[in-house]
Amino acid sequence: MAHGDRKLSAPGAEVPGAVVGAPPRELLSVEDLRVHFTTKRGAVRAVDGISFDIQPGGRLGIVGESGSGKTVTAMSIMRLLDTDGMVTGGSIWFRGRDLMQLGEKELRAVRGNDIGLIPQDPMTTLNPLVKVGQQISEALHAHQRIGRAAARERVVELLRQMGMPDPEAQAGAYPHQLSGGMRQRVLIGMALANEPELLVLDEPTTALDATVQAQILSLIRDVQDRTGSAILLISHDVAIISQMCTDVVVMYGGRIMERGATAQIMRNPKHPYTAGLIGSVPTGTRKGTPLTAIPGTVPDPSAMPAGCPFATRCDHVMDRCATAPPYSPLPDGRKIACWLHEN
Amino acid sequence: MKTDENPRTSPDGAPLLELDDVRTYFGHGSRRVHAVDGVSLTVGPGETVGLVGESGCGKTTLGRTIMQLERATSGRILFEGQDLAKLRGSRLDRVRPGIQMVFQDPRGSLDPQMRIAEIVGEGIRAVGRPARKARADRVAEIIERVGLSTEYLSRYPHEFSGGQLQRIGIARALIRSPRLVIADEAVSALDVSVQSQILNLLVGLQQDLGVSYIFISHNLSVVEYMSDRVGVMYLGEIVELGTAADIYNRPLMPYTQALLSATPEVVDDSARNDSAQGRRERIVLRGDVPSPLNPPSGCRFRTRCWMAQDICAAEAPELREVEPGHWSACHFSGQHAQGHTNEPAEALS
Repeated sequence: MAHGDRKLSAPGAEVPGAVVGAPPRELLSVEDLRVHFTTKRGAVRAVDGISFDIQPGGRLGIVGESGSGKTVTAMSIMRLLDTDGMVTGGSIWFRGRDLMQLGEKELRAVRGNDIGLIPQDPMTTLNPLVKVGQQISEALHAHQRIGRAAARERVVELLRQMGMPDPEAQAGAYPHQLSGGMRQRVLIGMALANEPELLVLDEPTTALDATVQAQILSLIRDVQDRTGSAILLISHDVAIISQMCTDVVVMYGGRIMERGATAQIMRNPKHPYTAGLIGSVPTGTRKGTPLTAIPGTVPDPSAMPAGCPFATRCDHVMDRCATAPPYSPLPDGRKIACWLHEN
Repeated sequence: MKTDENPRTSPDGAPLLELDDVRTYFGHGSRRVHAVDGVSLTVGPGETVGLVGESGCGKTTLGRTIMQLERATSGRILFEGQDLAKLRGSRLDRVRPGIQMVFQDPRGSLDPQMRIAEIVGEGIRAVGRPARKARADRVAEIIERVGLSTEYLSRYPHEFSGGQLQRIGIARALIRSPRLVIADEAVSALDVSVQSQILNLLVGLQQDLGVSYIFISHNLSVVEYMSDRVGVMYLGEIVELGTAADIYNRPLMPYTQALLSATPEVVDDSARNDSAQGRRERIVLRGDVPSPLNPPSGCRFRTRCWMAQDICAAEAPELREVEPGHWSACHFSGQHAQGHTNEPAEALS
């Protein structure tokens, strides 16, 4: 199973679990990424050696709880880590180039052009003093030679595609005049302005109400169908990942616990953490039937146990778990980091 | 016609809490917000009533109004037979311990400068040594009951994780043996794996203590799991009320249908979807929730409803009992394609 890494993220696969010979070239390939943060309590390994890849047009989700390292992973791909965070190892290949080796000028050509970011909080991401239409046209001017009239037309067209009523008028609105859902549409429009090949979505609907969330998820799906962009969707919500992504990476304590086709993992999780996470969702559980709860709490990132980070909360913990389990392929195509599944 | 317009569907006997046309308004004149606008509801002993809805629907204000953190503009709030809306001062203070609240943000709702023992025991006045000893015993008992060690009692809130703090918040709420606990987004700030621990704890406490819950959340699957009955709120009103099974398997009101449809499921084609009503079609609503400052005329949902007719703008639909124990505020409930719900509609007349 030397090509186990390639099994992820086949675009448009009808039966996600049954992907065999994957296309030869990944759009994005993260290899052994390590990110450390310096804090008052010492160095924190926020991301501790993770690898995954996305094919062109693929849909990959990263699911995890707070402190799992999922947002740090996204920000590393964008090279937008806070100053106290440092990539200490690994590489991030995007279309054959290692993003880690690029200078700031080259990065600016990639960000917003080849890779679009849709952040979690539409309230704080937009500039409150600039009309939203102008903010989108800034994104256009940054990467294209485009006249003002053409840019204005393109902005209105983008807002229309984002399902905003009366896009001409909305382009002249300030962010505070729009609802949370509308602001998120503006940000998606902005991220799509230069037709990126990869969209990174960091909890894109967490701040939104349920019915608005459904609108935005449906919009993201439409956009993806139309443009063929690949998406990397980061969420704490397994149900959203399940609905949106063909493949999933489950993170905990800065490491990947399990990854594979979404349908396969949601139906039949193999890693005790994944099983606990899915079992924690009460959907369809009758009252009085106790939920599968994972005991304890997510360990403090500065005090992550050596070995398997989940060992302190795992029902199946063994002596071996004091050493980190290898991240190995299973016969069904997924990869897993757990001693239970090592022979 | 039914003489009793109040949805009194508590399982047995006298309700613990009875809300009758409760309204809570903020502000004046054209800036008046009808945060809660005519809610009638009962909660029986040992029952859990869930309140779901999106932001601005009034679910939190309703909880705070019951708790007397906001005073109702009009309506009656009968708790064990006494109208809280009429009580003031020491007479209100005597009733108050019977209702307690668990808040969303345990870090923000617990005083960071108090030790856990003080936070939990604060609600009990203890004068003299025997009383203080009794209070300490009670604090120790309750802290163990919520799954924490008595060693924690001398520590401060910052030393705890979110899940542990929520256990402390629950202990604080339970110390005076309330009959009703209002949990307002009590698990929403917690990680999923910790959330289920707290839900299990709340269910276990209810089985042991017989306490009633009003469980307020935007999270539909959590409310379904916790609740015997569920009220769906929209712009200050309860638009549908029924048993959890009614609401989740046979929603009558289009808004409820849209809300359920908007909730993604972990395994999309689960047996649950097959058994309920065949696969649910995904309904994606247009637009946002209108401003509560200026709600639409007639049915407040009509601006986003795909079934809206002229009557919906002209006349506000009453919350009526479409089938036994299942209430809906829609002009078309019981008429349209809900299949096998015909005979209860006749029983109404």
